[in-house]
Amino acid sequence: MDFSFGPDKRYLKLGETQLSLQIDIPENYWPDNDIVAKLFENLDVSLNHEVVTHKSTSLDYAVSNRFWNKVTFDDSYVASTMDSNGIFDPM
Amino acid sequence: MGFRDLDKDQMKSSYARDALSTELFSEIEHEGETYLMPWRRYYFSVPLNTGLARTTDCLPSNIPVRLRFQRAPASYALIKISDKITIKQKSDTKVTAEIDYTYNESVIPILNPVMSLYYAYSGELEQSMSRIRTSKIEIPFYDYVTRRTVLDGGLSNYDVNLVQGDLPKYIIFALSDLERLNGSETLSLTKFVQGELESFDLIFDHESVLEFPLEGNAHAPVAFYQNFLRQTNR
Repeated sequence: MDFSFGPDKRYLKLGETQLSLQIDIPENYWPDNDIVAKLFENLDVSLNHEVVTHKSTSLDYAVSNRFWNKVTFDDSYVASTMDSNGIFDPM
Repeated sequence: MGFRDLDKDQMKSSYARDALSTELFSEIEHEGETYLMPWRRYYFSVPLNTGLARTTDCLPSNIPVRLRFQRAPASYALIKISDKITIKQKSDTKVTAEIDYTYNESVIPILNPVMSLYYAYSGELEQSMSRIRTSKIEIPFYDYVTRRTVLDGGLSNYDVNLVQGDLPKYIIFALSDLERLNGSETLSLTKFVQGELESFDLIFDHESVLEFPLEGNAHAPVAFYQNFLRQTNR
């Protein structure tokens, strides 16, 4: 899945950028926790035609996102706001 | 902290998942009749997981940007709750049947993906970014990747060479097993366990780091954590 954006005189802030998507799952399957991160192996970011990220394993995206969320957000934040991120099972 | 990763046997309620999805049906043929098979359509909106998206800095203006997501196998993302699924006859929905169903897509198709970009612009920001352009100051960000090392079974001690090259700012390590990490229908990809680990030592340049080895006390590194709290004035 590829997104390309041409030059713009304004300044892109990737920290505020959001990806929205839909997926269909048969009812005898449930999405694993943090499912959106598990749809991807890696994200290559290319700036001015130069790739500035690195790939190591097929688990990069899911595992790094899991630990980022784990150390960043507390229980109440996870429980109240993160279901739309695909995180369903708060402590 | 935060949330739990659950395997199939630990998942009890679909309440939270149902709240974020809608029901839809596909038509299938079963014993010469058209039946409706239930699916759920989930709606998600997420921030990007990359070091560049973890900074508060903006990117320079007037450059092309490309984001390429490499897709993961469907088995990374799904937990099979039941081998069977209940279908309803289309002409009379009171007639139901239970059939075996296995999801066969290699990757989960993504519907209606939208990337909502956030651009910033102001006179103050323009001035600040101009200074960066002229002095060639870099925008720092942490890149992070996952390394995977398969350990041999049956040993009492394991030496793992974690780092080659520059020293990382942070290291997180976790234990799992190959069945889980290869993508399992019944196991969460990111459920990690302490296993039989009793202690670990972090060695730089042939010497233990201060306060290591870290030893578990009833599977909790209490002394280490208390010392961390003391040293950080908490």
